[in-house]
Amino acid sequence: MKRYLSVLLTALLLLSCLTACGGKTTLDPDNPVTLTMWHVYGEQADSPMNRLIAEFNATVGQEKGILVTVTNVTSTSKISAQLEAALTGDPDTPEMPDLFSTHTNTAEELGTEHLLDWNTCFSEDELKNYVPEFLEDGTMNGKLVVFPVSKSTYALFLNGSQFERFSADTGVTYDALSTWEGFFDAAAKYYDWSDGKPFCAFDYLIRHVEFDVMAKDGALEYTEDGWYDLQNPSLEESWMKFARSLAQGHIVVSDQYSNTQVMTGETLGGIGSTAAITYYNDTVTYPDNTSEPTNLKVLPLPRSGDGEQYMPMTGVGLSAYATTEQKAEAAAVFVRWLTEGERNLDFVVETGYMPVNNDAFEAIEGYEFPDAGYASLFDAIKTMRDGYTPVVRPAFGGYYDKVDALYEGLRQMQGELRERSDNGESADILAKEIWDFFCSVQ
Amino acid sequence: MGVFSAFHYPKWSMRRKLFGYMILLAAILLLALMAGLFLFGRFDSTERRTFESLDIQMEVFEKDVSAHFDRLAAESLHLSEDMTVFLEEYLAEQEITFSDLTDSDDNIAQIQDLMIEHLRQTLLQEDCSGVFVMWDTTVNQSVANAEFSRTGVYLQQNGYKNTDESILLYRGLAEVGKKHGIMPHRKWRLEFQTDQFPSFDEVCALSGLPLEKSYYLTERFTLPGTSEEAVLMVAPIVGTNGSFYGICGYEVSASYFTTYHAQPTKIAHLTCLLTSGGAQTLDADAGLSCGVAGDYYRTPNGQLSVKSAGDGLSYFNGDEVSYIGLTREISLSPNNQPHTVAVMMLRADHDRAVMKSFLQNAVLWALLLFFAVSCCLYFSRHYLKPILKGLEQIKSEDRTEIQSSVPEINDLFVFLAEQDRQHEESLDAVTREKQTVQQEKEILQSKYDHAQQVYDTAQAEYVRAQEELTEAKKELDRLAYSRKDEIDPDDYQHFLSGIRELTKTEREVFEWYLLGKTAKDIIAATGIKESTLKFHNHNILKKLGVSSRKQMLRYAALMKQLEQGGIADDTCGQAE
Repeated sequence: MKRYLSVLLTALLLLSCLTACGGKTTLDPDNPVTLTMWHVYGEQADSPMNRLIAEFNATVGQEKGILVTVTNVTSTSKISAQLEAALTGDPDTPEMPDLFSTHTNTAEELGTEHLLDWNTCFSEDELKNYVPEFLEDGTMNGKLVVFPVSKSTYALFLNGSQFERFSADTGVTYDALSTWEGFFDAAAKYYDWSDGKPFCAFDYLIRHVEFDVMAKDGALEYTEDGWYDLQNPSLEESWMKFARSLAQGHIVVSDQYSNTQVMTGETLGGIGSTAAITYYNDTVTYPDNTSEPTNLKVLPLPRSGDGEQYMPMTGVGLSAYATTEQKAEAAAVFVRWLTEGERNLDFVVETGYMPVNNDAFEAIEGYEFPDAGYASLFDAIKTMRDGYTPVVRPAFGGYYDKVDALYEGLRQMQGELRERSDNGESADILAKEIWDFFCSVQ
Repeated sequence: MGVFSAFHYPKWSMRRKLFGYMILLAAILLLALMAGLFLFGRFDSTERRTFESLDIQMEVFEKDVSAHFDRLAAESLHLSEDMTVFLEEYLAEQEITFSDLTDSDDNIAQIQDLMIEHLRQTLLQEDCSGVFVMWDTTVNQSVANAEFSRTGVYLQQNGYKNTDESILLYRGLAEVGKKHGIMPHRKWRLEFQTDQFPSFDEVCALSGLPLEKSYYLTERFTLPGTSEEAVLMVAPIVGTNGSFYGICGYEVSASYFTTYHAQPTKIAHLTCLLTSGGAQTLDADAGLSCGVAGDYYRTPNGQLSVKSAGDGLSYFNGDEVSYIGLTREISLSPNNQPHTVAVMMLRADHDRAVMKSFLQNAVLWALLLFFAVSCCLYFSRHYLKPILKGLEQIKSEDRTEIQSSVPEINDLFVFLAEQDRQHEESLDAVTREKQTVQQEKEILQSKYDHAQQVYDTAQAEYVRAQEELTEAKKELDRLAYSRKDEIDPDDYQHFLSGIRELTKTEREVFEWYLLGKTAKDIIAATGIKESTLKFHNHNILKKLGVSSRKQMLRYAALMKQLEQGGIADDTCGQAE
């Protein structure tokens, strides 16, 4: 009898799996299923994802009975906390969305048991169309819980109009920014040239320190509790390289997003996610309301020495909250549609991401970009993809709380440090203070 | 009674008649039920129910929208008054005029610094997605398009939570914003561009009106640099001397409207629209829409042509989606044309509901009919079963031990048993009588047989006697023939004439003799006495002129022969 029951249960389980993503459809065009969605594409701006969703709803969605409704457009820095609040039923938070942008570490915090395993919805042949590293990045405990939709890296964004003037006056060229040494030298020159303006705002400063260490040592060891090994002399050395520039006000940790500091004329450039291109205005407006075209120039990350170079592989993927078979099937239809070759290419070009689809990646070579800023962005991406090793972001528990505390502390410190530097204090001493602060972050 | 006469059809079985009566009863009950449902409004059409649901929803939505925008209008006026007071105090403190603010980055920065907290608190308190104050001045008149550039502060809420952390600086000095912990919006700009914000000129023109009548609701527009669309509730900021300082107001973005006005209703995929436009078309692109809380709705797009659908409803046909619902005019500002609020549901949903209702009714009535027919069949069969069984049992031989569940049948059995008993008693009597009659019949038969034997014997004797008579006649004839010549014709004539003289009795006796009867036979046959016979014999012989009876018989035989022509003509001739 037990054997019979177990066979029956297994058969039912298989049947449910088949009906969820493979077998007879659970979708009904006359009674559409709604997928609520939170994403991070185009917060506070024109959202290419929202336009794609509208297109999906009007075409495939209408045909198959799926309606994707965006209930929250947020940012990668906020979505994790918002999802966790939704999952725990925070009264001020909307219900847990059916689809959401997420990192693998967020997926882990949410609990992979709550998330749909996309492997059950895509065949092996279908998955072969995606970049294997991106699929691997979204896989946890054998389950593909974060489906790659787009991947980003970091790049250096510059106000081209102002850089031309700066270059004409100082002789600093874009080529000079290909190494950190050239970069910091240019930053120092700009600070002087601009009467004390930072050259560049960094969104994720610590990652560049990491890559610098890795370029020297080939690897970076983390401690058991998921933080940096502060006894590592290479780490301190690399940190001090950035800290000196920071202490002198040549670079800053961005207030929130480096692009806002570029478009307000506060800095000449910013280093942040390639996806930030969506948020750059066409013009830079200065406090006297004068403005000029941004003429956005995007460069690869400066290189650290002559060894192997590293670049971050960031960018959220899509996860689905495991609820009903019908929603699972609908989510798979939507994600499959969203990541199809040409559509994926259009989407990533518009949002500044790297495609996840092999076909789209190949097609990007001959793509006609809408403006020079996007063209230079994808040139930079291509350069890095060809010459840099992608590194996934750390996914330790509590890591990002410490990083946030680090950045917040640096923001608090940097103004005063710059004043002290301007007043003649040693950059090394000030940088040591920054190192000490880094060491104090727990 | 015409209906019931049909049930008197003699060829219909009792079951069929009862079934007919029950079906008739069921039909009457169903009709009564239908009439009741109709009277109590349960038979209202789907359109009617849809209208009532949407009408209630319209009341709610209209009230929500009206209250919301009335509140925003009032708050816009309050903000305008506050800004007037604030600005004039600042100008007085600085001993400058409003026009001195132009190109004065310091004053503008100070003004923004002083007002930004007030705006932040206002934004946190009000039901809106943004708040702004646009001063009719600019920080730099020399830049290109400065005629459209206006300084001010525009704060926006970002995200679904109305919290301090989610406030962004959409327009204004970034440094001032950062100083107060308000980060620039991703699409931040320093100043407003009046050519990108609607109705600046319209509201400027309203500044001459009393403040309470000067607010204005803009058309829906795209917030510059974003894909978000919004309307603004705007009021002019007017100085105490009547000079125009700028405008202020509140933003209601399309996404905020969708969230804030989501209707807690069970109407699936309800779509509510606030837009401008007339009765013939609704411009969905110019409106704000919302749906059902916790559900989705199809965002209306483009122009929706309005066509009457009857029952107070209208069809709203768009390029992609069609709806059914109703509209009302609503006045949100004295300076705007009346807006239109529409409460709609998907036409496809409605059509499905109509079809579903029809099918439900059809199935319901089919079930009722099936149930009624089944019940009639079952109950008529069940009811008649004991009766028919009783009738079958009545046909059976033995009814003595029968018990039925129908008392009337039992009474009938008692009655029939009594009848049977009486019948058997009668039958016994008849049987007995029959036996008696049979016995009598047998006796009579026996008697008859005996009589028959007697008769046969007599018949045989008669035949024999007849033969003897025949022999005797033959003998007589032979004798007469032989003795014809011995008879005296006169005597014979006398004999013949003497016959005519015989009395009746004598003639009768004479005839008996002629028949061959003996005296004894004649006495027995006539009942006369022997002496009387002798007396008659004497008289007969005397009158016939014969001496003896033998002679008389001879003459008589001769006479018969002559009458029959049996004797030769010569005798007759002689006799004549």
